[in-house]
Amino acid sequence: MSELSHSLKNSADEKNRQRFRQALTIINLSIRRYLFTRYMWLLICLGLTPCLFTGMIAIAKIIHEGYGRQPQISDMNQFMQMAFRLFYIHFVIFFVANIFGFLLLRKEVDDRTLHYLFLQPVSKTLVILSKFVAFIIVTWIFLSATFLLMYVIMFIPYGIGVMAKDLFESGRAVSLVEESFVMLVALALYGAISMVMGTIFKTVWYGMIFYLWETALPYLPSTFKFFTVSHYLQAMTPERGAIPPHMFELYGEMPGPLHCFIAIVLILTVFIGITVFLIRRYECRYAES
Amino acid sequence: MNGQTTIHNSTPVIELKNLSRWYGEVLGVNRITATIYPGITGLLGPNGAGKTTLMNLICGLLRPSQGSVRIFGKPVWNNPKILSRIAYCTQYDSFYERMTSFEFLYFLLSVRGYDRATAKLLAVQALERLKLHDVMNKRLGGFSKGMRQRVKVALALADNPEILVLDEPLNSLDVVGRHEMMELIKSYGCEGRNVLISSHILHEIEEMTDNILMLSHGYLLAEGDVREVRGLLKQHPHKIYIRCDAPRRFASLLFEMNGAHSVQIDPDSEGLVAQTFDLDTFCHRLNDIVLNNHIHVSLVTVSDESIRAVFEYLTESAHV
Repeated sequence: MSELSHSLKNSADEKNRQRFRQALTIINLSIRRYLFTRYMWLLICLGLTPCLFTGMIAIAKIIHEGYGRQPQISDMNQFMQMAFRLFYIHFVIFFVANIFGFLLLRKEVDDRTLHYLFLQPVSKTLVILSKFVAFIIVTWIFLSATFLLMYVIMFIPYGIGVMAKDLFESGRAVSLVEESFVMLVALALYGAISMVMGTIFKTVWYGMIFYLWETALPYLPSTFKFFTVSHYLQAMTPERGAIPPHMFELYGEMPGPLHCFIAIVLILTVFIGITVFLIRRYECRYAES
Repeated sequence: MNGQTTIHNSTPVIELKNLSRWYGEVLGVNRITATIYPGITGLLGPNGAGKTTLMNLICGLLRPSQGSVRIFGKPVWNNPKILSRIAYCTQYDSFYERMTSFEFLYFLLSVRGYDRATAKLLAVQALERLKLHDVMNKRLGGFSKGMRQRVKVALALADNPEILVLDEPLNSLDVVGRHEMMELIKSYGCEGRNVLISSHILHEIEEMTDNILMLSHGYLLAEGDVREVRGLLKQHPHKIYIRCDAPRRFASLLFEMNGAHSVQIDPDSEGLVAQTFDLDTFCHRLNDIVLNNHIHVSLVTVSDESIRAVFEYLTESAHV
């Protein structure tokens, strides 16, 4: 009896290992498919735009004030926080996550390659979730790198020593890690929502309505704010203590960490659940796509 | 022919029970009940008959609107386990264009569950089998249609699946390629594997198997022996379109060799349409003419009009 249970356990382990291997291959395959496509160029352009702006500001500072002067750390923190809250959360991450999340399934349908995955002995759920993980890996690594690059560029007029001091003595390294984590959460949340949309819709235009809804956050009544993703992302963004309070008073009362955690889990569960439900019923029909 | 049943002792491979599939108002296939036994089975029907829909249903890409598909007794829709026993070569000419043919096979074999070493070995063997080993490191985007077709077949054959489903695999192949592919499929069938192959050209199917399913307008018209269909074709000659650099000379040579029943030069003078009752002899004559007279032939296609005529005949018989 114990031999039988042992062999059953071994076979279950082997199956899990195989499933894991299959998931890794789909992730690898999906990452390779992202690279060097026009969507990757879009990601590069969107991700590097804040770096470009920061670079222009850095050059202007060097021209006007010279190299190596004492930095106004509070100004820089304000700039970083504004860039993250307004540019990254409301613009870069939103568009990147929406476009890439939407394309998870839609690109395979448009390229007529979905059948290659759906004909393999692997569940459709595993296929779509692996593709979701691939999207998160690619976009998160890239956007985190560009955010870090923006930080580095910002310190060019003041030198590496000042940057190292700010990073490790003022504890900015922790803030950067926290902001990177918020990016990850933002990509996952927006990605999960747009993944559902990509399974239902054929074009990404629904995103404009979603975008208006999300950017209208400051102007919404406080009850509606709880139905926007950006409300929780703004709440999770670490305070650098440099922003005048009136700048963000339109965001209203921010939810606490527990509320944020519950909201994130709920949004992810609902939207990934809907995707799994839809994908199990999904058929490979290119002619109508 | 209609309603004919063949008695088999072996276990059924594919069972279709009252299978229907509609696309909204449009009929894909309607109330198909058939059993496919081991060996090669041809799926014959003119364009739009429902062959691809039926194959997509069999391989689980589509969900039946009504009825069921069972493979080795198990349902196929949303059943990934059964997919490890099937390989499907679709008609879609789409690939991961930036990949090489080797990478394409290697990745998809890995998704099939094989470890790295096995996937590599199977990929190389399959490409060698389809004579693609010279171009295995070239990107698929630069492949000709014929090569792409062979890559798809290589993928389907790579891990020797128990059931091989091929949707018009001879499309886009030249004469030599077609012959090689037919031999390959025949040898696969001879190894005791199960092959379901579709075509709208009776002659192609006849080369590989006697056992056919005939579809027309989404209905299963007949199943059984291909020779009975062949008999009906005697009244309906094959129509062959040949595009060449000297169509008039080609036509006169065909007549001289008694190779065709009638020949008509194309209005643009770049080709001809020949009609024959005996496609085998015609093909031999065609080869002789090309080889001995140095005529450059760029295209040879057999129209499915002859088979369409048989379908019309069978449809009429079914209504009487």
